[in-house]
Amino acid sequence: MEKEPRVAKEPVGTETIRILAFAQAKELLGFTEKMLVVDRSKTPREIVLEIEPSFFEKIHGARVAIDQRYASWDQPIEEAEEMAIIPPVSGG
Amino acid sequence: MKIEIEMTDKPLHIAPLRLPLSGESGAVVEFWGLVRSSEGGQKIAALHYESYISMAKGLLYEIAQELLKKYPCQRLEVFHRIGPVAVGEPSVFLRIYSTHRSEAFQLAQEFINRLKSDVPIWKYPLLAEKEEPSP
Repeated sequence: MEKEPRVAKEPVGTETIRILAFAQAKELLGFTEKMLVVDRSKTPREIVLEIEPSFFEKIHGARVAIDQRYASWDQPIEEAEEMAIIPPVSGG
Repeated sequence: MKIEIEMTDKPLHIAPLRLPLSGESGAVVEFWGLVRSSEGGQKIAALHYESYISMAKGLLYEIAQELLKKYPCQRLEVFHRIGPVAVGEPSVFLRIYSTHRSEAFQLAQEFINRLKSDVPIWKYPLLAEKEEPSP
């Protein structure tokens, strides 16, 4: 039985990602949700710095979530659909 | 082990503990987190809670699963308000059923610590004079 031909994986390219900003990040960046065309080889840190170069000087200790899980600021976003910018939390 | 997580923009109406229980649990620990009248030395009217709700609920569930392995209990119920919560009102409620009290107390303490350090929820004071969020 012949194997099905393997479909080559699309190279990482440029597509839209949904960016969510909360709390102080929302105030600083001026949006709660934004669709952005980004190069998939970029990291969350690079994406945020392109939007606001002073982000990390103004908001200390912010975390990033990729598709609703905490992730590294320095890993390429690759196939992520959603990136959330999460300033220090204060629930309870 | 049962886990119930609820986030709501409505006032918390928690059903009172229905006694008698089946006999499986030897302890029930409840925690109410309430809004104090002052925040950072400032008199406030309320706290406004913001959340990334879908992630917050998922993460609360994961934390519950993780901690229930460490502190085996029979049931964990968590309720968290979002939106404005007036002074004196509850913003969070936790109820834990366990065989012995020790696991329930420890689970309650650690669960709240993790909620406060990791779960994407933010609060802002609403001042008595002008009721606008001030992050």
